[in-house]
Amino acid sequence: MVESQCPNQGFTMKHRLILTLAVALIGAWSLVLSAKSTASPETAGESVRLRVEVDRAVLPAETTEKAVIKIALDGLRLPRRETRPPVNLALVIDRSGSMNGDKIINAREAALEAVRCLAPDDIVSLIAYDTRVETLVSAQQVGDGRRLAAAIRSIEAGGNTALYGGVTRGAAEVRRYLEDRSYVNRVILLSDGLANVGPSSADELGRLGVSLMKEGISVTTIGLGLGFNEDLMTRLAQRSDGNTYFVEESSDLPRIFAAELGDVLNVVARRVVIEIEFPAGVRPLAFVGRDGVIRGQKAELTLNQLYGGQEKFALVEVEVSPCESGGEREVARARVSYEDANSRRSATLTAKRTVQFSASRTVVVESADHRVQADYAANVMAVAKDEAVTLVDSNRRDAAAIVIRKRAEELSKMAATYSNNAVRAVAAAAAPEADRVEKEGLGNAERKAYRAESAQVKSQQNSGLSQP
Amino acid sequence: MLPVSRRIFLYWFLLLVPTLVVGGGAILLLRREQARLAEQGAYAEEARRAAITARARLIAENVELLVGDVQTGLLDTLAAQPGQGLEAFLDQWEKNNPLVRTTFRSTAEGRLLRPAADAPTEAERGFIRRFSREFVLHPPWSQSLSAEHFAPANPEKKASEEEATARKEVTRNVAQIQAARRDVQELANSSQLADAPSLMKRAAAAKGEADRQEAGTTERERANGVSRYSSDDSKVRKSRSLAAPASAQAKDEAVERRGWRVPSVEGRLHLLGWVQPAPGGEVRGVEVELTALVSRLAGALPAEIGSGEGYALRDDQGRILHQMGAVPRTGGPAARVPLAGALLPGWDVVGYLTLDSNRSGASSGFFGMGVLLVAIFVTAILAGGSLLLWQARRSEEEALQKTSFVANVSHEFKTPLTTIRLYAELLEEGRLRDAAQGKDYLRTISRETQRLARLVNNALDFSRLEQGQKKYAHDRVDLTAELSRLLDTHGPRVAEAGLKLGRALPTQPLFIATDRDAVEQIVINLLDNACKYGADGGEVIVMLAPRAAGGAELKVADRGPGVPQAHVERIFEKFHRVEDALTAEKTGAGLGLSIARQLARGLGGDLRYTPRVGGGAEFVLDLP
Repeated sequence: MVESQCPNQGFTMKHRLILTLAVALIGAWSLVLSAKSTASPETAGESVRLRVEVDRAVLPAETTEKAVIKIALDGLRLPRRETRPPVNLALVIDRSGSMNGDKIINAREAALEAVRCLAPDDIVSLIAYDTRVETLVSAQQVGDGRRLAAAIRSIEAGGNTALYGGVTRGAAEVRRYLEDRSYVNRVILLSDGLANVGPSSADELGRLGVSLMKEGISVTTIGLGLGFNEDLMTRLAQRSDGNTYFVEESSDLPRIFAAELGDVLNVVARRVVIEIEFPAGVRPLAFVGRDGVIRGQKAELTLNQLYGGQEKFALVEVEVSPCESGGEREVARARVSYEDANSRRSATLTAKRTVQFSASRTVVVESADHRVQADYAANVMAVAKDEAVTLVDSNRRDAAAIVIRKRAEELSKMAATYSNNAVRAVAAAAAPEADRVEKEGLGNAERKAYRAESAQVKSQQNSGLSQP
Repeated sequence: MLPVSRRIFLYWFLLLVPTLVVGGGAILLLRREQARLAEQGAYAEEARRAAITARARLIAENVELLVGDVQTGLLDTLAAQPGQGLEAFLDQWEKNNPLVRTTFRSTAEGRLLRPAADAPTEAERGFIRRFSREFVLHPPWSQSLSAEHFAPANPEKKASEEEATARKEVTRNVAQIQAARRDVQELANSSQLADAPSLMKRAAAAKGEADRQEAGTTERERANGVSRYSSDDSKVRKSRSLAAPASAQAKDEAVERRGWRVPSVEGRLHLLGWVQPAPGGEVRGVEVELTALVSRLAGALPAEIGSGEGYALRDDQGRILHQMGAVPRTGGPAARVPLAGALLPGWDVVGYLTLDSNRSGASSGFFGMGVLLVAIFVTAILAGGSLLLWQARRSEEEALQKTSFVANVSHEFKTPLTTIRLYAELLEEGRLRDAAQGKDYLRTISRETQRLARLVNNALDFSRLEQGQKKYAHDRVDLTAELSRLLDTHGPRVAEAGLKLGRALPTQPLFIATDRDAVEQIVINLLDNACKYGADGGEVIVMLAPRAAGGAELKVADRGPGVPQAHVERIFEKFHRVEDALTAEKTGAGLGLSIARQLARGLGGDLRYTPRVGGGAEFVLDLP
């Protein structure tokens, strides 16, 4: 690979040196200035923006109406690349027999690419697993990366797949620097096979993901080829708030690693807890897409991190009790607490949203927020597809098709009502898919694509790359 | 047998006996060595098995320590929490502690207070599904009355406790020995013993890992639900709990009850811990996230192990949770150490020993190779000895033949010389009746001289052939004409010997490419042979015929006594004579036929003997 694919750091060591000098100069200058001005307080709060949106600003009056509330978090792009928080990364690479050939070569290339993207003070550990798990490089600073590169090049394929052990070891390596809270902690798991040593059910790995997320460790899973267990891989990633990718061609690996590193290097906030409070008269029904918890009038959702330049959101379906026309009512009050990845300070944001009520249909239709509706549509379809996969698995293709069709119908009705083209496109794409699922079921590649796509939509993962 | 031969045999015998003795001795030693190796291998294997068992025990102990620490830590945290604000604490705990799967509260009767019946999360609904019925029917706290550690009352419990005690003793011993070893090692410092340091390091590492985990876990548990990110608070609480006076603790324990239960629901184990702060009061508890706990248990396995060793932690269904080293797919484990039933029933630590597949074969292979080498050695010596013996015998025979040859040749030369001398003297003295008689004498002298010349020719040819210096010309020769001329020349001599010389030659000339002199020599020798031995038969016939495949076939046949069967091939050997004695009736050096055959073969043909039909000898010369 001649050209570096690092999304965040296209510069070489030489550039880095110049930058470091520049930073040192700026630092010295700022020291001089600091006598006059104290650290600007708004920088801490600026890494995240919170928005509360409703699918329609005006709801029909005098009726119990369902509405969709979108709690959106924008990770603002970091102002300076060199000030990003350091990364604590574990690369967990499958080297079982099935990885033989191009796959392992591309995986090595991808890992090397990842190392190239990191700065000398980032922490990296390298774990390879087949039947047994081997820590090739225990958690340590990248430095000049030579030792890591040598270890990566030494990876050869052969043996079984101790996936659980690999993740566990990766997490253990990450844990060594967990106490230093400045790091963004991440395990990147690459596998092309079924886990066949150690716990290997999607449920168990999902629970491991939950437990790792509690520690602030996310696991990104990269499924390669058509042999891996996509349920397990997506579950592990989703539950730990990591990304998930499905790569059919191993030659795409370096790009995927680069995209993932782009996210990891761009973390602006961590331990993001979204709490939504609904006033009386607004009853939260369910989260759409994400696994949040609703207790009474409160809903809660935790994200492990927020990436710069990306929007992450939660959609909550609510039921709003009748209100007279012309009235106004608060529908949701959101509070987000997070830790700023850069300054390492805790911060809290609040936002609320009111809606108006009108008897006029036109007013209601015109008040529609097409983007919220489109997001809602995409998530509804993602959930429907997940459901469809489960149904197809239990050999009920007709039921799966019905689920997709029903959702598509609802969405197209919505699209027609509000003349929302984005929603219409989602609904239109679903109909032929339903037919295909009914007739042919889901092929291996399709199933993987469904799962990965669904997971990516639900977690607003930023990757057009993984579309097979 | 001659004395010389006997001596040679004696030498050979002297070689044979020690060789066989040495060979036998070597095989005997090899067999003993093999037995010793096998024994050593068995000992080594046994020792390794024992080491593996000990290590497996150590791992089991570490796992138990880890699980025990987690359990104690969790329950301490739970117990220390005041009733007020408990719900909020449990919420936080669930959210932040990776080891906590679900928390619960229940009345003493087993009615679940938390999670609420309309639980919103899948985890909580799962908990209710799994345990709500079980709690009402058999509340865990109602079964154990005073036990600090609850365990289901079954006969296995006692056994496992005994086992645990025994294991503790073992580890204590190991630790003791290790401490002593460490002292010695510090003294010796650089002198690294084979297995001892690595074993110790391993153990120390494992222990260290355990300690680290323990510290980490307990600290986390003692964080009492406050997010682990606010470490200040956790430290305060920790120091407080450590500083708590023993009496207060004792007082606490007098009223507080706690325990663990490991029910298997839906085919899976669940680790439930409970605390009842006041007798008959509300019970609070926690279900441990087993997957997270298991992921931490990887630290209990040794970081480095010997080659061929493998360890695995297995759950109650025999699934491997963690493994280290070589764990074969088939074959039973070398050691199996079950974990204490009260902690994780059915779980075990297994150690595997993969023997080098060619290790057991190695000793027998060693033996086989040794025997092969000895056999080669003995065979080489015996073969060499035999070869020497054969060579010696041949030399001896040749020496004898040469002696006989010299005697025969001398004798042969002497006969014509005597005749020549006799007639020469007669001529010299002039004792002649008439001139015709003088002519007759001279003819005799001439004839005897020719005979002498032939003898000398033969001797010369023999010498050349022996030295391989004989050169052959390849001229185009009309064999018919050449043979006619030769028979004309030698006709009188044959007639003198009392034989009628018959000839059966083709009417046409028969051309072949050959050496004229060599053919002539062969024919003369054959005729001489016929004159010498076939004189009684009264005839000798020379036949020539072209061969179908080209070349010619020449036969010289007589009606003599023929050759005895035993001598048919040997008559062509040099110096061989059917009757080999100076006193024999017929004189000769035993060279004629030998030379004839060598010449025939030198020409690319052959000379062979066949008994003549109707009696007599027939020599056939094939010429290409």
